[in-house]
Amino acid sequence: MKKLRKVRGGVLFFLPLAFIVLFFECVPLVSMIVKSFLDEGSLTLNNYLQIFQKPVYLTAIRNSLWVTLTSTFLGLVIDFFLAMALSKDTGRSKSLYLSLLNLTSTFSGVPLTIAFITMLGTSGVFVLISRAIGFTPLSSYNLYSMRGMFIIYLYFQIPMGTLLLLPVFDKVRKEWREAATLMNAGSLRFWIQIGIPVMMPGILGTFNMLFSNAIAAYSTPYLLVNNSISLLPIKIVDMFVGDVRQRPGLGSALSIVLLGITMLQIGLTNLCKKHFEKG
Amino acid sequence: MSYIEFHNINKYFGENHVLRGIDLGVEEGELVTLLGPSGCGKSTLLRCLAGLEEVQEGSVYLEGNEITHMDARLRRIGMVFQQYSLFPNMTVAQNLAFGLKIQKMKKPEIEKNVDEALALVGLEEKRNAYPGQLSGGQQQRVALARAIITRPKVLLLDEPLSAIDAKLRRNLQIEIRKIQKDLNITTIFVTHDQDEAMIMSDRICLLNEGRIEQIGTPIEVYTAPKTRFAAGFIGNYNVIEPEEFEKITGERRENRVIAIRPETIAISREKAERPDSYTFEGRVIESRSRGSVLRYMLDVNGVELSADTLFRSFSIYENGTRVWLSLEKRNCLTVEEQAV
Amino acid sequence: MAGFLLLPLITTLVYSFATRWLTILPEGFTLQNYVLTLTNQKFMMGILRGMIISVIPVLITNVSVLLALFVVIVYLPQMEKVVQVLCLIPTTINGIILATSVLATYAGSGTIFANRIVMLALIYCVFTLPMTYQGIRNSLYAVNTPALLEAAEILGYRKFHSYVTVVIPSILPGLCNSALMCFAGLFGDFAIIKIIASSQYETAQSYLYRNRSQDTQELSAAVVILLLITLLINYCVHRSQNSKKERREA
Repeated sequence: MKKLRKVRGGVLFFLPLAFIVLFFECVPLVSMIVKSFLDEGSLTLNNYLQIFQKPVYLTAIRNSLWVTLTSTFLGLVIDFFLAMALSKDTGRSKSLYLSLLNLTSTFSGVPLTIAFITMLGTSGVFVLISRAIGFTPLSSYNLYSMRGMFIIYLYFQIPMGTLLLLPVFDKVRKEWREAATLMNAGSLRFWIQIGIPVMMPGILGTFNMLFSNAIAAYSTPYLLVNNSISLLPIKIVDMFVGDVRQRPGLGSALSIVLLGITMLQIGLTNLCKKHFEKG
Repeated sequence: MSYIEFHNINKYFGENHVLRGIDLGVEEGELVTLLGPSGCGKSTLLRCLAGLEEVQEGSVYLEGNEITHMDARLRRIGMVFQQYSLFPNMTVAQNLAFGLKIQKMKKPEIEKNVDEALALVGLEEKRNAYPGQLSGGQQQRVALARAIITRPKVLLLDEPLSAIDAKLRRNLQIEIRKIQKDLNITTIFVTHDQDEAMIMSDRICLLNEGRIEQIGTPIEVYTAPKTRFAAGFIGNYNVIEPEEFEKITGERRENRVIAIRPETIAISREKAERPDSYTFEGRVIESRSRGSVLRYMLDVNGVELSADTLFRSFSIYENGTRVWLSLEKRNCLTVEEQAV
Repeated sequence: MAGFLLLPLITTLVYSFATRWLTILPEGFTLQNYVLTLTNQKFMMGILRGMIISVIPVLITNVSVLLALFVVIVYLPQMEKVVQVLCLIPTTINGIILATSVLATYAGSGTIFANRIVMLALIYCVFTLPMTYQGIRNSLYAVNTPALLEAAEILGYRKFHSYVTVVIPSILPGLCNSALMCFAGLFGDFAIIKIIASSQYETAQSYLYRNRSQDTQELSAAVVILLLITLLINYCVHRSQNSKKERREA
């Protein structure tokens, strides 16, 4: 009886969190799912059919997947070698590099995009310099395109990914490398057969972070290409606050698609992770 | 020339002079233990032979060939580490097959070798287990099997049993020694445990602060320590300064340190003069039982001595009891201050 | 690689000091851009607004999670899993989905939630929930809270009293750490604010966005100032981490 009263008192403490979670997490999510099946008040699959039939939306999905996957994979490769070099390094140069990574990992969104406009925009300094010295590859650099924008995606994948991978390298024990060496295994063989498989759960976790970071990136494409190139996040926001007709039903369905892509990706990496977690 | 030879090995870690002119030869098929306290350089010396540490001065020979700067991958040396050296993403069988695959051995032959090695360490039923599913002792057995399966020229064991509990350790010591003798494989074993060294070795090489203090069979090192450090580290000798020796026996030996093993001091209630012995009186300060042996801490004329007796009811003395002690003169060994 | 990472930083820095930069080298250097930016009331107000709208949600979230976890640890350990799932859901749904779904649900609903600033603050609360939850949970278990509370109860203190006076002070460094990181995350947000309250509530980020096509030297100075602020936060996080390490080692 006494215990019960105590629990009832405890429920009071639960209220603030319950309030936030209920009204700003659960209700909107459920209402979004419901809305995605509604069109002008009637139950329908129309919104989803449109997404998978109209080229605009298919292109948005394709573009988002392209820029996310390429920047994630390429970023991961760079992060891997960077973290590998850093894990071998010690002392002052390492701590300097770590500070640089920490600083640049917070450099994102609007400020980062403006910095790149300053460098590579239509009248960016590097473009101007290249024109002055006649260096063509840069003088006509088009930042306001998928390929041009890619460099910014790559930029924000590097510091975070490297910082996440560094502790993963500590999992590779010195004894394994030495034992492999004494059995006449080369460094490539060691990393392919032992090092990378051991690190795989950590690498996949990093992949998850980089992927969800890139697929949801909004500020950079909004500032640079806005509606000239369609990307999933921009299309979603347009459906709710755009200048053209607002279509919350379609927007909700697009959100569900984006959510679906993220969940699918997490599911796949978890499946991979299971495969590598042994013993 | 011996099978393995170290010539005047010197090694520095920064300011630290960790190996100071090591000369050591190991014969084929022999098991030599590098024994010493932590930080004495024993593991470093082992790793110099494996090629995992660079030798800065001196040279290393194997089968008469100089290998001082040879790539570690080509030395054909098997090694067992302290712990966690098995590849965690591979099964026991895959761990064992790893080195054989690199030697480009054919598949059926690999299978046969893996089976034999598993039988040797008695782990046939763990063939497909992952290292994380094995106990510490089982992991070290697999590590041993992996180290010898490639038929290395030398087997190196770097404190392989230090993380294993005492009882299991005894069994593994005997087992490793048996496998080593059966295969007649030249082995260097590193440990800080003097009992382990006594049980396992053909010869013990005692190291301290980067120097060899003494090399010899377990019995030689135990019964005839050459230096102050050797007497203190092995056999718990009473190490006595010349002036203390004079206080105990009334006799002055030339200015040398004397080492007396605890079990050579006889305790009795009555004074009993024996030929060629010192006889003197002392007082029991404390007694401690260590299995079948009872160790007394004694005060003899202001000098503290320890003496061991077998645990028998009629020879138990209360603290504070005055007792008579006798000590044969030949059991007072003179030892060097330091290795030369 | 360091060069690639440094390039935007250095270019922005140099550019913010330049007078005019139309060919290979800038024509001269000046502090004018900083003077202009720092006296620009809209920008400075934007920074202030950004700080206010970031601090309040961080405080609300921290207090809510601390209260909820107290109940979980003391009375309802079986609820632990539920709380964890609810707190970690926002990691999967990103800010854009979160913001648009809330907007579609409450905009024009006539309730208090329809107020854009209330809406923004509460979305920020949900947005920082995962990091706050993990930070607090880890610190609570690191100091072994259940044992601490039981020890205090044997001494005759009420559990909640000792939770507030003993446990929370002892996890404060870790708490500040995750709070600062959440703050930095919110302060750098543009997407959510753009969706919810782009016109009503202009932060430094939205100021940058609105002026993106104007004098970019002045803009670069603004970027540098914002970076310095995040640098300062970063420095605070590191210092508190290091002092924690030292205390543990001592």
